[in-house]
Amino acid sequence: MKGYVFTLTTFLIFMGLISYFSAFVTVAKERTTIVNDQIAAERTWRSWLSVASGVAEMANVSFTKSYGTAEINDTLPAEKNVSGLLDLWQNAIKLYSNDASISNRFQDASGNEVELGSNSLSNVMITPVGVNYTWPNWQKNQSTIRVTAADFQNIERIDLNIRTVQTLALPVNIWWQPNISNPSDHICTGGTAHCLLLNLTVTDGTNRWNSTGIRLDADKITAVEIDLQPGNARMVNVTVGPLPNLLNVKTVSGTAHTNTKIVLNTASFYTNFMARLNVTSPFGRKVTAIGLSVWKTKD
Amino acid sequence: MRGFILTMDAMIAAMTALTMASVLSTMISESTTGSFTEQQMASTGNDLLAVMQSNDTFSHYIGLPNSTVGPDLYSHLATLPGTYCASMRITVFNKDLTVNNVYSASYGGLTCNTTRSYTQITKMFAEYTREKVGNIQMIISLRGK
Repeated sequence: MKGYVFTLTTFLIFMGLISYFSAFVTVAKERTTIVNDQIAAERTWRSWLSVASGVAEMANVSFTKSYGTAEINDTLPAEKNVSGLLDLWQNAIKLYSNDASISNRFQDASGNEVELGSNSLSNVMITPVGVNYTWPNWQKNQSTIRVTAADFQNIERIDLNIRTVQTLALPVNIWWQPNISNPSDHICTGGTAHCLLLNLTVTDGTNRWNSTGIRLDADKITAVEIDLQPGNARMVNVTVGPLPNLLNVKTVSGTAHTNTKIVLNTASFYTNFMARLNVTSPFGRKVTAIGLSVWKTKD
Repeated sequence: MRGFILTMDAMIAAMTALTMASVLSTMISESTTGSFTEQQMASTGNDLLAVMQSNDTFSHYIGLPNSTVGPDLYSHLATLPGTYCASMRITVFNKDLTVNNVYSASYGGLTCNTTRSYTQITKMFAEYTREKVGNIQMIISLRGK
């Protein structure tokens, strides 16, 4: 009888130990899973960020977000073969970043792989405000801010600073064409449906011209020609309107560094390239548009 | 006598179970601790690389000799916690993806322990002006043999 009691007691202790151990293993496994998930998520995020930042570098464009302002720094035309550099970046990622444990893939909205150097991708969308910053191709001889009439209301003001590499033709005498002395034609009136407040500054580092706070009817074409030395063949053209082509900057045999500040009526926006970046690891996946916004806390 | 034998059997079974539980729990505990350590090392290493990249450190290295880059790389690695040791290898590629230059540095020397917990981090960088791309391989492990 005594033996049975001992046996039963030991059996109960044994069962208790098994239960305890089972619970311990379960908790440990859960903890390990959480840690592995965190490692995978962080790795996926870091890889995504690194690859996306390289796209902006190779396109030689930077987007900064400061509350309600999207600031774009660009150079027109491209000084390098941007299309080739984007392809180089994509090939380098395939060869030296992708492995069995992680994959970075550029794709369109349907999931098909895209070639980054393709001209169809030379477009940056500012969402959800419906503003596009586009180049006709990666040679970037002109840039255009495009917005539909419906989304125009999201833009409060645009500050465009152009710094020309070549010297401005002297005397610096830049006129809006057609002549804005006729206010009823291109300057906003009380009844203008789409009125753009534009601060345009042009400088070559020494000479300076600006049209502070001009209000132009975005439904009509208004243009400025900025002549550069030497001769008349070099110039930069700035055109406002008609919508959806809100603001166009075009270089003709000249080079210009542009700084464009689009002041929006919201701070909730994102700047994304057309292509999506799909980062996949055995434990996680991140597929989103290639974001360019860098949050700037200080001016 | 039969009760005694049964008790002995049960005791042996219990002891065996206890031993197994003890060994397995230690192994599981160590593997979990290892994951935490690896996560910590990966985070620390990625943070270091992010800071270096945000300062354009890698782009500035392009074109410089390893005798200049090596000590600078070491000074960055030396900011890691004292319990870590690390090595970094940067390969710069030309437009045709041929190797332009290779830079490397290691911190912690022979006391690195790559038999237990270690983390390997891969990062890429691009440089527009000089039309180059780069690959960074970083291995972080614990110090001690």
